[in-house]
Amino acid sequence: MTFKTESLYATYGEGMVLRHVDLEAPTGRITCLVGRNGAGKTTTMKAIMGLVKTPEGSIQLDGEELIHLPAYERARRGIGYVPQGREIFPQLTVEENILLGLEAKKGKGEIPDFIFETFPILKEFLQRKGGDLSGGQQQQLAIARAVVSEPKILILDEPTEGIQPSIIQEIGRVITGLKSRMAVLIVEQYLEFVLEIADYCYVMENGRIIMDGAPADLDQEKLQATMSL
Amino acid sequence: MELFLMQLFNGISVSSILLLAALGLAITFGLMGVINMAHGEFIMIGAYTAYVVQNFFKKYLPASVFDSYCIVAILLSFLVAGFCGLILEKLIIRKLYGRAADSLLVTWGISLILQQGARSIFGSPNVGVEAPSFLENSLKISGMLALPYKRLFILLIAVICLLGVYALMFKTRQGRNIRAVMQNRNMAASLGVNTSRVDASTFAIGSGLAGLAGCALTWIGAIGPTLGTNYIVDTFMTVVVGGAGSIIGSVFGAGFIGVGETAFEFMTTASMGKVLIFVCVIILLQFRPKGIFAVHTRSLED
Repeated sequence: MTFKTESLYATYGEGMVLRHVDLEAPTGRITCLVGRNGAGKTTTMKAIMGLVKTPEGSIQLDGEELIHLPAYERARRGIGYVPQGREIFPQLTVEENILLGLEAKKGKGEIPDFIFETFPILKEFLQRKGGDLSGGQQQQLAIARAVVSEPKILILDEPTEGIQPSIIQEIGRVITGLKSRMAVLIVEQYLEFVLEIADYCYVMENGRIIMDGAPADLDQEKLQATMSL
Repeated sequence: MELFLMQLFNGISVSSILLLAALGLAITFGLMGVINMAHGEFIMIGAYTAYVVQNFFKKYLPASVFDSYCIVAILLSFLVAGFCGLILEKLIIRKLYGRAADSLLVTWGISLILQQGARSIFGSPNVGVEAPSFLENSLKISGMLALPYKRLFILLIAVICLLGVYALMFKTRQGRNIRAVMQNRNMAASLGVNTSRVDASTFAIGSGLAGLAGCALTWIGAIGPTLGTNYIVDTFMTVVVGGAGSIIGSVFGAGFIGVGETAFEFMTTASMGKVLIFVCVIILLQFRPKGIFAVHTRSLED
């Protein structure tokens, strides 16, 4: 399975935020999109999900064009999305939050066992309100909700943001464990985390991809300079 | 003591009617954030549906089955008002989400159109709907205390609707999707929820409940094209006092306004009772601006 964007443009209000973004994220690989604040990383995720306008370009999942589909159809085609800030439903229980992830399969099926094997804490707190969980638990819930329908690609926007270091390690392990099941595309600013888990990186600046390659092959000086700008 | 119980029952009875009318609004205004001034006209549509069903039973069916018209009327008033709500949402309301002032003006205009439509079809004078014979008497508790079956029946319908709405919202996939869309529309869509369909069906359910309220109102008074305008202020007040977005809040809001108004009217006069309940609502909202049960939902500014 391969996910790719070709010459993707995106607008936010009147301004063009993304220009000519080409990305590729196959199954079995953790692909990271890095860049400093305001580079256009989150917009790229939103563009993939259909939450911002994309006047030009192509978004393909297994060869199928998604660019003209609304967000819910993209989810049903197999994109699992963990947004920045997690955006779990605070008034809904943990179970309801996870069940909502099954809407990508039109609500069919049950929560598979691997969810609770991967996130045992969620089984314990099944009837708690999502808003009552800690930040790390909410992040686990957001990932569980995105992968419960076993999407073809999991896209995560800043999964380490606001999470304590011990939980970041745990999230890194979980994401690495998922890459054999699905393609993984991560937007991240925490460079140490990226270099630890990424198989391939794209570096973004001013809405364009300026460099890409395996982390070890990237020009480290240029990478550090880009991230610290 | 009997007088107190009688007044309390009257208060609960008024509350049950308010609750029926407000349940739909709790969904469309409270959860969806749409200021629907035409909500009262959905009450009117439900009432006229009951009137038409009654006339059909009188004209075409044997008198022995007349009483069963109320079952058909209850179902059809919900369906007809719900269908009208669905059409309205698809044609107009969906373009007005997040535009509070526009939705207020547009739905006000729609309410006037619907009132005129009713006038053109049924005429300006009020018309009466005959209650089924089994609702004609009263349940005698003691010498002075008698509870009219009509009022008890409306109370029963209100309780069933309340339980139905609760079950829909908290025990079904549809309800889960509604709550998710109301809390975070983009996120719900990103998980595969067809938000446009949820909006349309939610608005239809809210409108259908208003229709049901209209059907119930036919048994306690005459109905006319402006039936809904008599209730629109009280129903909005019920939802605001209870806390927009909270179903249980609507129950408390209806209880507060229904029982309060009846008590004040008993102690003073009808108009003074109304004034006093308004004063109470204003004072309450000073201390709890988001109502008794505040819930985070899709805000009007989104």
